[in-house]
Amino acid sequence: MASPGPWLRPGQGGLARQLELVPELAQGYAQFLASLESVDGVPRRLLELCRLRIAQIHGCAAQLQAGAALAPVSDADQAQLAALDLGAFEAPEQAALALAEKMPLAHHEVTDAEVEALKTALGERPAMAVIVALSFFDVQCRLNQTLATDAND
Amino acid sequence: MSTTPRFSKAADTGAGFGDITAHVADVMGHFSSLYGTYWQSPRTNAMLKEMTRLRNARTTDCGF
Repeated sequence: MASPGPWLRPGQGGLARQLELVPELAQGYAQFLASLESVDGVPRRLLELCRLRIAQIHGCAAQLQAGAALAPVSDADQAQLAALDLGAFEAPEQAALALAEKMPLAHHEVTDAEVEALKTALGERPAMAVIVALSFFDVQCRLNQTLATDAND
Repeated sequence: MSTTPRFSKAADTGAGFGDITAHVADVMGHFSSLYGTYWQSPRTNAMLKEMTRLRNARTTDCGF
């Protein structure tokens, strides 16, 4: 079985343990997440910033407490994320965060320009990988919150 | 909401979503496998799965 993604490890909400109730799905999900994390041209810090921002939007304690799951992010950066003070982040990070902001609850409001900005910043293949990742950061929060798993499980 | 695909086709199979997401064909291959496992699993009634899929699409206003 593929190693679960670092944001799905037991101890990070106990989610992986609960998913093991359906092992064939748990295995497939872990393999999918692992492939998503390893697309060339997608900075892991960019993914981590987006994962954290989506967790902030959901108020998902399990994902917020799984700090530095994909890459280190300073407390100052997390505070800037929470305050939507994105000026200090790099251009590709800003482009991805603009989409992350809308993915959970306002996906119909994503604009052509926002998607184009991400493609310009990263290239088409990495940009597609980021968009798929954003949707599953959202899924992950929904799973954590629906199953009532927290970081201390 | 835009109705024009925002990515070029990375494949040309006639499957709109699949042709676009083929930019990350390796990733989507794993997803398709997972999705197929879910739909083929006898653990949950197929009608229940389809009913919840449709309800989710309606709730999220997903014309696709």
